[in-house]
Amino acid sequence: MSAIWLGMALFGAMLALMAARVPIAISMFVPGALGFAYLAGPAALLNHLKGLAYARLSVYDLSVIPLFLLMGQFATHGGLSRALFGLGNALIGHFRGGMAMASILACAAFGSICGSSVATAATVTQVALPEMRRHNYSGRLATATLAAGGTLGILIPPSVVLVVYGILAEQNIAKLFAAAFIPGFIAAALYLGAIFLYVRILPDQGPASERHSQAERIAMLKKVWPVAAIFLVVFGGIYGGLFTPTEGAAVGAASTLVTGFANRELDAAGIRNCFYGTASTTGMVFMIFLGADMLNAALALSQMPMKLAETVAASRLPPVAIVIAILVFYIVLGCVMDELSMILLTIPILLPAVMGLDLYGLDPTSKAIWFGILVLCVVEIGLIAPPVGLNVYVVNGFAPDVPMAETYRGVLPFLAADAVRVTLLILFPALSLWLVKVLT
Amino acid sequence: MERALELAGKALALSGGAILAAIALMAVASIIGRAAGHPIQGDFELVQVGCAVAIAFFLPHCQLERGNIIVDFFTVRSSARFRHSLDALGALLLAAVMALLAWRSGAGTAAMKAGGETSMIMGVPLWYAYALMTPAFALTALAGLYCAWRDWQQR
Repeated sequence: MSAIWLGMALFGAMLALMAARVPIAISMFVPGALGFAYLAGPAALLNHLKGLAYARLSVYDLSVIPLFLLMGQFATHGGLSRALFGLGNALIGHFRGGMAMASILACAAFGSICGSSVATAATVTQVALPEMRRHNYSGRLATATLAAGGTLGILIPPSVVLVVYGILAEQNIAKLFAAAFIPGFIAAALYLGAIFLYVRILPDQGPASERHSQAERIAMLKKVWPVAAIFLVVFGGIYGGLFTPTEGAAVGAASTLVTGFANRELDAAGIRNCFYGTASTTGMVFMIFLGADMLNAALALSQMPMKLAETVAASRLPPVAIVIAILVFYIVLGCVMDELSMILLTIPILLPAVMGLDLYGLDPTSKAIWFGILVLCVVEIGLIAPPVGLNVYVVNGFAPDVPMAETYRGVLPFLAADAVRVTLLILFPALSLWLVKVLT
Repeated sequence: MERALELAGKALALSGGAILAAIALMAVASIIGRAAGHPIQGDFELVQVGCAVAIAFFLPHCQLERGNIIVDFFTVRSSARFRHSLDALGALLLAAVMALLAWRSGAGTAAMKAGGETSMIMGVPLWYAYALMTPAFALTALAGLYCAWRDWQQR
């Protein structure tokens, strides 16, 4: 059997298992193990499995993930989202659509200390949704804003998805984070623009409300400074060369814990819940890692990624057109799969093909970083796009009176903003790469 | 039995969380120590080994909480009975894979112990980590079996 056909068969088996509700990690592991045994023999498989788990779970660069997830849990249970939304609301909440804009700002700020989008969406929703509904914001605008705002959690560093990409693409994580800052700010700015236009056209959906006094604003500012301090210490330390990203995550986890204690938001029960939350998400992430590792080992044995890269390089299609085709493929795949499994599954296969293309004459490192940011942006679209946007589910779960279809309708302007951003990032690689040069 | 499984999963998850928090504090101490000219020797290794063990400890709780994501896009319209049957099958498959991993990492423990492999700087025998992770995989397999049984009951 030729390489491509065997690779396709493994892929097909994986998709069939996934469609049959087998956990994604296992859907990847089983065909991977069978393919490995077929290509290298059962004895080689049993030998490979002896060290697989430890080898995968003890990678130093991956240690950043549980630590960032723990930091996100402490931030979530430590009441930091309330302070962030409170400040945004005190500053701009009185404008038409202002509370929705304040929610976006709160998501962006929370995203700068949390690497997960579902966590960001859920925690900001809990404080912002009741406020918006109390001020007669439509369910459609309120829930859609929060679902879209949540995606800033993975866009703005730290980002679990970007760490995973960095490991697969063998790229420096600090550089990848640096590349994501400007696209993250562009995303937040475009979302604010989308809300601004939305409430111009449909003013009843986000009515203006009372102005806050200067004293209230200053009081809120005092509650928010720990978030800014944590962000500055973590990223200042990473880019100042004081510590590695993994150590940065450790510093972040320790300082969010201390902040939670100091604000009297975290007690023993709260910490237990943080540990349970970290356990569930970390377990999920690393199970997928183990499964993808097995499948990718089999695919590498089949030499399919190499053959595919040769085929693509020989196709003589315009390089940017190939990149766009890949991004469209991700958007389609994102309709049924989560962002992490998608990246783990496809990057080892597609990245060699992309690296073989001449894209704006970029050097290999810049190319890999730029492509990573583009992939991050498009997989994040799957979180809010129908039919199964995870963020939409999460936010809508907090608003029983808002039909799911309403939230999806409200998401459309934000999807348009996403399309604008991805186009900008494709046309101007410097938007991603400039800060990398400056910071590292 | 169910109670014991849930409790064991939670106890492991809490221990994993405690290990992770300890690692975070150790890393902070190490950064401060480095700045003050007294670095902690082998701090990177402690992070690696500690994280590997903590992650393994998280797996049983994750499965008991149904944290391992599935794709339900293709089955939203099928009957609840059919879906529960598929879920039982999926959990059974997970149990089989985790049992395989537990068995192999048990063999890995023996091989590591016999080979006397240690970490580079501190010289910690690596089989300690293997020996801690193996029972966690076995417990995840049990958790998968339990979930499969529960799904089958709900049909």
